[in-house]
Amino acid sequence: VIEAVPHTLASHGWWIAGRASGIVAFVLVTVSVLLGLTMAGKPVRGPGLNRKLMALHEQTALAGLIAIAVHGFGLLADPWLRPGLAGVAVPFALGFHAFWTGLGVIAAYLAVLLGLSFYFRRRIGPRRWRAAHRATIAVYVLGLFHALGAGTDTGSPPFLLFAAGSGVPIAILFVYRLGAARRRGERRLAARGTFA
Amino acid sequence: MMQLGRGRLRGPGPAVVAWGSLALFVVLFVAITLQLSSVGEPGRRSAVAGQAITREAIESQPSPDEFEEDGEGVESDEELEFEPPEPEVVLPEPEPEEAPAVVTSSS
Repeated sequence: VIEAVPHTLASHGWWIAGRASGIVAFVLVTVSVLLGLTMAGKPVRGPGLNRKLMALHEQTALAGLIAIAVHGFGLLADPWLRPGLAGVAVPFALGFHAFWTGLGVIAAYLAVLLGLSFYFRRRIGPRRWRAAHRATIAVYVLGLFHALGAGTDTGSPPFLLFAAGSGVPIAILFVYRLGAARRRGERRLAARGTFA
Repeated sequence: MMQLGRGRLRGPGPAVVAWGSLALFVVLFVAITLQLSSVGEPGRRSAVAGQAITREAIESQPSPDEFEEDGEGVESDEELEFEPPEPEVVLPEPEPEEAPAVVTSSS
């Protein structure tokens, strides 16, 4: 096995880098979405907890963006797949698992747009930014489908375990968040009715 | 130290996430490399290899110009149809019959 490593790295090094960074990107996006939903729904409270979660949410999101970029560059440089710039940058242009890779490209663009919009939220307007930021769950869902449809390692038990183990709490927190937003809206309406 | 003055809690620094991500990447990179190294060359990337081979086959199809003979132009699309040459039928050579025994008579 060790003797074959140099040959494997020479022929498949970029592909391996693309695979590894894809998994890292998915893990980071999952953790970031999980933290974001935890903060938004406020199922747990504690002194300074929101600040801690906020810092971790931002860091994992940025690291996830870097991992997505490495994933794209790794596959772009792969001499075997040879996707070309269009195959990596244009949705559904790659001949290999066109639909699933297309979902991944869309997820990457959404991640960049929604992730970096945080730094322009004052210019965008807090309310508008918050409404757009809620769509970040789509990055996770598209990324999950992209991984399951086109990923080489997604059939492995550790990945499936991670996807299931993170998907269930994300779904629960998402529903909780929707409920929390509805409750807040109802409280606001009730308060207006009281003061009117 | 997680506890700061005035009871404020500070989150983990960006270095934790950065190093953690890098460590995960390295672990996965090494694991996939070893996994691929343990499999023989034909077993690697069978799906992707198939796709690459199909693409190369499509790219390497001869263009219509290559079908022209003696530099004459092709007038209609029908003429572009390429007929593979008929395979030569090679018949096995008949085995030499045994020569009849020569009977010599001495008289």
